[in-house]
Amino acid sequence: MKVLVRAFARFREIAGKETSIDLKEGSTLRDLLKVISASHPELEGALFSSDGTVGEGITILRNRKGLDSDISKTVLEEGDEVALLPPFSGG
Amino acid sequence: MKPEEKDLIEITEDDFSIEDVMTRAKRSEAGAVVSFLGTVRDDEISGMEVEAYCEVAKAELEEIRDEAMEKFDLKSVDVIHRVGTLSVGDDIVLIVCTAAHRQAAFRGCEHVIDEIKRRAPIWKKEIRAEGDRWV
Repeated sequence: MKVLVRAFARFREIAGKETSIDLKEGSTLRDLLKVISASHPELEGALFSSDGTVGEGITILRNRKGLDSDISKTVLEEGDEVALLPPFSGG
Repeated sequence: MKPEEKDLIEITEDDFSIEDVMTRAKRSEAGAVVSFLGTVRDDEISGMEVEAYCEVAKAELEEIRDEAMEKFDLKSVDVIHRVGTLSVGDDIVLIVCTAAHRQAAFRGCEHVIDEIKRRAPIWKKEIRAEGDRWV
């Protein structure tokens, strides 16, 4: 299945603005992030804390909505849009 | 005074006229019009790039507007946030709140800018001679 990854600001500079990723059916959000990080090693350090959790202030949206569960339990579907957002600094 | 007009919620590359937005916001039931204007400060930078996840940011601004209207009994809330490349002194964000009385308009305006900074997927990058830096 294909999932669209959109990255913004600092994450966009590392991973590119939009990438279509092929994943096995039943893959989770953590699986997706592993695949992207393999192509962009710098992204792994930018996204995750040393304990493997998503870093403070970082937001990951699926289909433009926040996640109800952790990234290992979020099972993706064909056509999903996943957005990687560093800490906000607008205003 | 055109109370039938919807409030302005915009994310745009274009500059805006503060006077136009203030004038548009005025309405007969509001005795107070309060604005907040955020500008590019000269922190020894040559400019600033502003980026947004526009679809989500606009929806978040609308939600912040709706919450503030109810919480502070505001008559209107207008928000314009710019994206793109800006220079020192350029306008970044304008918020205009109207209310029957000044206290609500001041508090509402402060609440809106605080929530934008906290919740809206928008980012600023300082352009510096020694290298760019995401804020």
